[in-house]
Amino acid sequence: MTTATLTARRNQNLYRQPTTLTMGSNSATFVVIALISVLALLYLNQITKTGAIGYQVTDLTAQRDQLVSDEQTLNVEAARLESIQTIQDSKTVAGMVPTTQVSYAK
Amino acid sequence: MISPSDTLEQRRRLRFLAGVLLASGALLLVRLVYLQIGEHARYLAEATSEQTRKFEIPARRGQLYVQDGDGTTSPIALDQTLDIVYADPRYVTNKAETAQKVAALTGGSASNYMTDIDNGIDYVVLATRVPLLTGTQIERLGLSGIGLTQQDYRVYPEGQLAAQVLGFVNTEGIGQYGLEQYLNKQLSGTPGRLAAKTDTRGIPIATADNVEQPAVNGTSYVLTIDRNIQAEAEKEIAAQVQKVHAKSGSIVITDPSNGNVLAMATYPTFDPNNYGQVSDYNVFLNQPSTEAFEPGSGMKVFTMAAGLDQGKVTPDTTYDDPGCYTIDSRKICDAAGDKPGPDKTMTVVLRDSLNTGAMFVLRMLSGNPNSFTLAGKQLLYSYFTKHFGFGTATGVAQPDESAGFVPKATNVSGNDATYANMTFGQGMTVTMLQMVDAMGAIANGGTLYQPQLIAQQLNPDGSTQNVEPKVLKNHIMSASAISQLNQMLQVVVQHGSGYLAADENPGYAIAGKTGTAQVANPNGPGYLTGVNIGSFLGFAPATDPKFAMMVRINEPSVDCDTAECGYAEYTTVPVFGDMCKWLFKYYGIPPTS
Repeated sequence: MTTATLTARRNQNLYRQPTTLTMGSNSATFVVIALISVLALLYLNQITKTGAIGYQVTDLTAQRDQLVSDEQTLNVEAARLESIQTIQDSKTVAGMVPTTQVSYAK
Repeated sequence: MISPSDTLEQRRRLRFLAGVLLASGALLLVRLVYLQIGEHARYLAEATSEQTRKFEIPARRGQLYVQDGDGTTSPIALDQTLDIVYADPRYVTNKAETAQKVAALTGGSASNYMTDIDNGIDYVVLATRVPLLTGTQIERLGLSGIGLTQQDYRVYPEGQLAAQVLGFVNTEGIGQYGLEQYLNKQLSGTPGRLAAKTDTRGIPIATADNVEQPAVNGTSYVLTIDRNIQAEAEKEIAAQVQKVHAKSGSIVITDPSNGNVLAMATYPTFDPNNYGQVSDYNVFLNQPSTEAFEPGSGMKVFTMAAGLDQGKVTPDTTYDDPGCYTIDSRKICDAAGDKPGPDKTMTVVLRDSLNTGAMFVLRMLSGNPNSFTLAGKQLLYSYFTKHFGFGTATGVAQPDESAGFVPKATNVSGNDATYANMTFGQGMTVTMLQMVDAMGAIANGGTLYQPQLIAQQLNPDGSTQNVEPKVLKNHIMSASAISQLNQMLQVVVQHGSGYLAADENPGYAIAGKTGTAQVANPNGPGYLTGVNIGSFLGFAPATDPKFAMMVRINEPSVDCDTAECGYAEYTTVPVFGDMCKWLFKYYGIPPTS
């Protein structure tokens, strides 16, 4: 028989004094008020945090919108710079010699 | 020392006070119950309406792209957020200085701004389409009474390129004309909705109670238009319209293997970025799809096609050309300059564009070399409408497409004369798009495709969808008839009215047919004198067609000795020849001989 088994058997015979928790009406009221206060504080804290995060979300949304707007502007500028008219007006193209006669290898 | 009576009095007062307090408390309780329970719904609704606002989340308009020849695409219509600069004259302290400072940044006129501010009451728009960077610079000046607001604008980075095909978007964000109108619903997308609690400044706060329905952005499209071909076509047609002092002109170029429209250009044109500056709204119309006209001799191609396909004529069938036929008591003749003579072949009919020859084909379709029959006319009607698609809108992605008009074959008096005229393209109307589409079907061996302007659809969820070619009719003619017609049309270019195109492109086989049509008198019967619509319809290389093309010049006014110099062979064929030369280089197509 192991030591653990012996200890378990020995503890079976121990007498335990039953404990009863008694609380007066004043204490109960105090505990209830305290619990309500704690819950109210937790709720307030949570609401404040949510509000703060809400503002962060709003700021981030505004930042995103600004970036999208910047991207639009850059896309338009890129498209303008790559347009046929811009290319034809460029000095590089103006310096090119147009093909007159094309020979094809057979 | 407190006496018993004092204690009693105190107790009485305390009871009274307690009673008052209890009564007050009860009253407050009743009021609270009334407000919080009885009136709960009302106050909740009021609070919600004050704290919650509804916002519309705008959907981004889809973009349009054109092809760039090497498989890449390039944006041709996209959105950009720009600033509007406005003034509230009541708060502008130094009007002259303010106008000058704003003008220095926007590039506008300070005197105009000054006038606007002087004449304005409480809100005056000084400048629109101001770049955001410039707007920021104006904002930094801190000018009293000057404000900025943002607005989305449609931007066309290629300027005038394909303007009539695209159309434009008006200040209310609605597409007008062209693809912008035709695809407005798909391009616009669906705006979202946000019902959110807001702070005192009206800015939405992220809470669990917010209800958001996200916006669905518009669909984008890749067009079949090749911007290089489009640009060259626009350059060519603009130059020719100016050279021959014409009213207007158009070019349509398609890929006959699938019906894709590679270029569709009209001159005069406009810049969709500044559509408000246009005074003649006809410029907005995409002439090749919206305007039906009498095509003239180009229609002989399809009359001849019917005769060849029915086996009623061959390229070598001959007829005696009397110069004129009298039909329904009306004398209908060859064009001025054509000489009558015996034994003219059908190839010569197309080469020399003989009206009597075209009428002869209808007689042959009628089974009678001396007159028309209802059956013959019905056969021609069937070829025009069922085989080649005339009289029905093609379904191309353009608004207000015209179907043209092909009169029905009847036994009513005058119908023979109508059909005699129809054989050479008068008395009926078609669109350029129908003509080039039908010619494409001859070029590709007999398949009539629906002309396509959209190559690919780019959905807002990131998926893509290719637009497959749509066949309108298979086997419009027998292979042998097509081969014969192809050869005959090559003769037109080599030795007939299309010779200028051959001269420009030695060694290349080009098929085509000119048309110089009279213009109907808009104020009464008959046709206008000295006014014509010239056209050239063809494809190349004739042996392995890569493109079909139609050039049209409206009402040229050429100052020359002969009437012929205003004909299509001089007004449209040079453009066709130049475009062929350019396209051969662009596609790297070597000559065949």
